Amino acid sequence: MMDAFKNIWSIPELRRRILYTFGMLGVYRIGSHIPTPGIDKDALRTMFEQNAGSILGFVDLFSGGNFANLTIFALGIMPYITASIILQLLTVVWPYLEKLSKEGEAGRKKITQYTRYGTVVLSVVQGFGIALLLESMSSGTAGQIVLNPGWSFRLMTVLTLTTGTAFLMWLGEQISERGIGNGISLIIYAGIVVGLPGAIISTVQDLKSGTLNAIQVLLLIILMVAVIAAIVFVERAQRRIPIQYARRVVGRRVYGGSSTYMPLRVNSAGVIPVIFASSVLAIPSTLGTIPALANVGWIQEILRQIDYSAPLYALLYFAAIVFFCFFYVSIIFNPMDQADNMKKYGGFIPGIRPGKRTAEYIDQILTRLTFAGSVYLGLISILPMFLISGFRVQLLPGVGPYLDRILPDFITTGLGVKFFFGGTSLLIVVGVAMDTVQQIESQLIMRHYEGFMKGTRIKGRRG
Amino acid sequence: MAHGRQRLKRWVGRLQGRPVDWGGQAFRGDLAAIREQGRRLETLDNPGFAEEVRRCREAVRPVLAVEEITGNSERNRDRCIALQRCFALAVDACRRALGMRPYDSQVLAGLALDAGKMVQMQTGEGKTLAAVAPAFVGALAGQGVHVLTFNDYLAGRDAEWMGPAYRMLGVEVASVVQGMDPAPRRAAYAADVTYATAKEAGFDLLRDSLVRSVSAPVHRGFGLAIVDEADSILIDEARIPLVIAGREQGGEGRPDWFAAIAAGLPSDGYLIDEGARNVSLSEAGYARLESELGCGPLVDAGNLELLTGIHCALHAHLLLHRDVDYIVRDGEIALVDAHTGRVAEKRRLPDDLHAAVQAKEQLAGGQRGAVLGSLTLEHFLSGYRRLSGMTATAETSAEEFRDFYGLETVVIEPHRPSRRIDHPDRIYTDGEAKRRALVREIEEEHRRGRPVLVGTASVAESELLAGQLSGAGVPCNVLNARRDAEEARIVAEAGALGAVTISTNMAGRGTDIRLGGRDESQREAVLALGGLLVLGTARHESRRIDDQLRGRAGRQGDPGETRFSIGLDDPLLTRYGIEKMVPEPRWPAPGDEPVDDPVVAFETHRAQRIVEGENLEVRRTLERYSAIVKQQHERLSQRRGRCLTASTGELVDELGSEERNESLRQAVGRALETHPECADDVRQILLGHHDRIWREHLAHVGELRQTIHLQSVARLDPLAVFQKEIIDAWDRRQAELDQRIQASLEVWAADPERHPPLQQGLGAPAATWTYLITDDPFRHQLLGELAGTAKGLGIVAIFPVVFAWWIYTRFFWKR
Repeated sequence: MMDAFKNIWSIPELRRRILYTFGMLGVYRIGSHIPTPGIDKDALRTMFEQNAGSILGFVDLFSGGNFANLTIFALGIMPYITASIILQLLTVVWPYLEKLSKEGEAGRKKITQYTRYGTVVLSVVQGFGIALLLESMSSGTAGQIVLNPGWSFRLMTVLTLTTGTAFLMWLGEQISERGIGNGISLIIYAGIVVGLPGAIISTVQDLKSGTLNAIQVLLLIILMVAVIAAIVFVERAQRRIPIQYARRVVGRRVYGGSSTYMPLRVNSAGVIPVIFASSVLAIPSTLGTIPALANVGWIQEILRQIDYSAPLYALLYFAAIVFFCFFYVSIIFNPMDQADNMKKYGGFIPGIRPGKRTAEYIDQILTRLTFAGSVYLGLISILPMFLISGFRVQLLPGVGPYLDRILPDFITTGLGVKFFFGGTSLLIVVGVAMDTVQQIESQLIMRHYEGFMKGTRIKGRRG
Repeated sequence: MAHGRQRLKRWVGRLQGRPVDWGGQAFRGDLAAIREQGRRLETLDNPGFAEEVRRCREAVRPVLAVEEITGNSERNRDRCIALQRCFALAVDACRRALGMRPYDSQVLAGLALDAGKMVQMQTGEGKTLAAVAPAFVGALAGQGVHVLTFNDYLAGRDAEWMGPAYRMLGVEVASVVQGMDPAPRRAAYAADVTYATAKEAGFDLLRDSLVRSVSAPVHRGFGLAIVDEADSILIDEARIPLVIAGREQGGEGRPDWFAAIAAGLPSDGYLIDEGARNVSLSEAGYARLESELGCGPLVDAGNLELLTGIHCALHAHLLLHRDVDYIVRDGEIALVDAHTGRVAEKRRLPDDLHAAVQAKEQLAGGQRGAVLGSLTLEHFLSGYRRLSGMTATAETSAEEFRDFYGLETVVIEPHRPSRRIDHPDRIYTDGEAKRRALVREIEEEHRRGRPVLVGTASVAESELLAGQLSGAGVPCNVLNARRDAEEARIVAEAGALGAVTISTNMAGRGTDIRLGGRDESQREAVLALGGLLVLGTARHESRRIDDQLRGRAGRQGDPGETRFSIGLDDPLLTRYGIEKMVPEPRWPAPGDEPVDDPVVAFETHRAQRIVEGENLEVRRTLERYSAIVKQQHERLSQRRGRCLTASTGELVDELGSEERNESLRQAVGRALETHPECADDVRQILLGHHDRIWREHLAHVGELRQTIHLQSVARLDPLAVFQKEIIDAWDRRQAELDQRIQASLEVWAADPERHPPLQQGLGAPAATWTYLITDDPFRHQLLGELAGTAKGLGIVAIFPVVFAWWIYTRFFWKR
């Protein structure tokens, strides 16, 4: 372990890149403490506390806590992600962009440029939306959030937030280019893990004050490690479908470890189904805050049943994740396309005819893998919920009280420990960390190799 | 107006930090000093000049040599003075020996070449002459100087043409061309200045890496390279790796049988993807063949060889066309180089494809080859201590030169401003209409006596057009791969009164078309007719190649006109789906009239840009994927080089470091004592194993590269996976190399007479040839990835919509 760090440190370029990355993330953190002007911070915080579990919390996750404090980075990197997604979508449907994307480097540069413009436009729109929203809201007890509503406030907010996002985008691109890893992911990552020290401190305080006992903390640590290990394990898991190419010379021996296979991931969908599921489940609770509905009894009952901590919510959440897993995989991975592509270049799965049958075969394997992957995603996602409050089965209509009686306490009320990260955060954090480590590793291999080779050039025998 | 726009373009370019220097201002000071010294030199008589050269050589050599060793690119004062002195001598030598006094623009270009730049000079501005002075400086520094030309003809011609000037400067000059024997080749490389094609020099390096005796290599080292027509060599050709192959033992297939199967397959039995140049069996084809051959499912692992044979035969039958991709000559197929349009000597199609094409043409089967070594031109050129280049079309690709080769571009203003008129393209709906119109136009111009040069994209197209022209009673000269020998004469006469010349794109490069031809008196008449008319029959794969063809006209301030004619069924356009690019209502009705529609014109140009972009991408990918393999080869070459040069006694040190080593060393020692005549056997065993292990490694690399793009299915970086696997594989192979050497030597040492290296299959390859890998494994990889991720990520777009909706309801409700 230490050796690995020493290796990384001993390569000047890698060292420079890593330091650069940390430096840039530092800049990001400094910006995260600069609030947008004209806001009553306390009122804002109260408002957020009142709306926990709605989509606001989710937005906050991606902005790394900047949204809740309405700092200059409140919009986070989300407009950039949205813009690049829109551009990529358009690339598929809009022939002009499709052609541009095929024009190589120059075309891609142009698309990147459009993405940046798109980011600014989206930031302006979202910034304006937030300004109007803030003006319209009061947190009840603490009064108006905006100190001086009006056009000057709106313009200032739009300008501040748009600048913040543009700067973040630049920061991310700089990290990707001169640092290590994907800058945009790392910024999201940094926003999440920055809460870690605070969580540790509060755990230590809880331990001191007796709110938590040592066994609980130990359990927590073990669980934490186990969950992370499980994520790493599943994220790396692949099913390898052998592929042969009948185009080259045959009769050659088979090389061990040769990558002539199609790797299918157990979790091909990544973290996106979780994001979808939470977005969808956030809708009812968000609706519930609308006063016109707040007084209707049966709506309130439904909302109570699918409240963030209710068992029905967990069930729905799980089901939604499974559903979105299949949904998403079916979109990103088209077995027919893959089979056609393979066929075009003379590739085939031994024993299976190219074309339709190959597509069916891949589809079958993919379906099984996705089932396993979706269950995994679902479990990881509801785990923190369970740890904090358990499955509060007594909320269930009918059987609730009975189940509450017969099930042990740790199921019904949870362990009462604070899990540092939610399931989504955990998946993002581990995913980004794995990608970055992989990138460092591959750089390390390359440098190591070049180090050996240094100073050698092609030379004539007598030269 | 045009001038103003150009200045604006330059200004914007400077603002964007483009690596282009307009006019070579940095070298103006040197130029003045050289001219100053030149005036003094001109007063000397020839013996006086020779004495001056002698003194200069003595004085300058240490200065230049030191500069090279320190590699200090800061032009210190000493070097600056030495440089000016050498340049002044070279310039005057050109005047004395060749009767050509280099213009300021040529001297500036020479200075830029010496400084390691990419020099852009208009066609006809005398690049060949500009290279003499920097080559002289390089030669004085004591390293080999290679002037890398575009084709063999130019290598021979330039060496001969510039020869007198070099000799006057006391510099040996020689050229290397295809088909030369090793001995004269070696002698040519030993000269101070060697003219050769980049490919030939690269292949020589590859062949050198396989030699079995210390005296066999032909190269002597790599000092300075001046690349002529550099854009073509550094960009267009760089994406094609040079591959050397040798015969593989055993494994003779049944190409005739496969050819018959392929020929008998009806057209619904296969699917052709003309764009990517691939063919595969269709569902119906599988069913038909399986019942015909009675072999069970073709896709069973056991039928792999059968299926491969069928694929190869289909490829040969449907995708490779006689007289376009190859010609039949002396009972053998000879491949046509797509870039030069010439027959490539000793070149074959990779894998079983060569035998398949032989069988298709009902010729005796060719052998299957195994790849023995490969090298990209880029890696080859990076082996030179100093690199510089010159071309007529560099500026548009300045960023590429910087990124790939670290070369900055210097644009040299033409000696006389160009008067050439480039007309917009004429677009026809089909090739027939295009050719009819061309024939009409050529006929008319020919009647007036104006010389016409027609540039075609393929040999077949040249023949077709030539046939139609002679049908119309217009005599024309055809320049293509089948008339190598006459090329120089025809090109020289292309500017003569009434000459009509049809050529594939090779004739353009580097050859001087003088208006009026040899007959100076006709020059005025041709000038009066408007100079040379250049007609392109199709756009090429890059704008640079088009520009080169255009550059034939209007040399040195002469008048001239150029125009390209395009058929909407040109291969370049159909390959990239022009019919999908042009909106349905704008699609022109077939007819003889040229299409006058800006949208159609725009799309035809876009097709070209897409090809350019793709080629660049292929090149970048090739570079990334070959970097590690190149390093591995360098490492192996070092060890192999030691085996080659070591004395018999030292050889035992190369046996690897195992405990078996000691006993083996003794055994080998004893064997050598009893059989001193077998001393070279040990070396041959070592070298043979090195070559064999490398051959296997290359085969593995090739296989891996074909399938590595599948890694992106698991969202892994294919390049990273590739590198890791290749490095692991190489580590294993190195260990295996030691083991194999030891095992072989044990067998040998037991009885040297009965077990010579040849018997162990370790002899040198009997024959080698070259491959041009044209179906690059990366192309489909680029297209596949994009769509999948884009569609997938798009769904996340729902998220902000939900967010926006939420804000909207909140906000609205309050009102």
